[in-house]
Amino acid sequence: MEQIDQEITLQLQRIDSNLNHCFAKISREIIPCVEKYGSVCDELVDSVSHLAGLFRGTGDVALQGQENVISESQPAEKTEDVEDGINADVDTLETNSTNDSTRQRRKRKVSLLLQQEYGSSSPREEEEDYVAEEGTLPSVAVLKFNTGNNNINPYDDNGGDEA
Amino acid sequence: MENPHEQVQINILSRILSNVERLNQSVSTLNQELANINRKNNNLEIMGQICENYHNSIQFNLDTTGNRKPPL
Repeated sequence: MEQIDQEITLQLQRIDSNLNHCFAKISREIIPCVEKYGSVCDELVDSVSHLAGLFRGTGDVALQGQENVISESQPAEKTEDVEDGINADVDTLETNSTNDSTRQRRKRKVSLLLQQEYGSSSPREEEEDYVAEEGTLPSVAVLKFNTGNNNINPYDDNGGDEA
Repeated sequence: MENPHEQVQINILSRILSNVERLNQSVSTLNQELANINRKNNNLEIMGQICENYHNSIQFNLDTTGNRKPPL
């Protein structure tokens, strides 16, 4: 009995020591490391944000021309149905008042379509599409940052999240 | 007769309890930090995809127009 008791006590002591070791390891090494990683990621985001602004600008400027291009071109690809759906949506959206939400929806659909096409790197020989695409692709990504707001300012909102 | 052992064991158990509590706290803060970083990284991921698509399309366009030049 004595021996058993002693062994029990020994095992408990070991358990406690291991747990303590884990806790110390985590709080001393891992959390500061993760914080450093987070700061580096923040720097990354800051450096990349100017590119995002460029793409956003091209997107906002070329949007009017983009709708015409999409309604004109109807290639025999799998995105054809999506395009027709988008054309119908664009027409219905145009009949409605041009709210920011409708514009956002239009941008999202357009850029989604383009992302599908270019994400699969399918050949398209229209520079207009390419120019508009490089603008709409980031706009959809940018819009993903902000699902509710009208202004496309993801990084400001991310700053809000960090705060 | 077993009392001293039991007392020692109870002491150790209480220490274990407190350590486990601290450990849980630190693990939860770690989890929070990681979740924050993951949220911020989603935007970065999208940015990377944008750049990759831009690269692909620019390569294709250059190839199509015949403007592609070999690396210097």
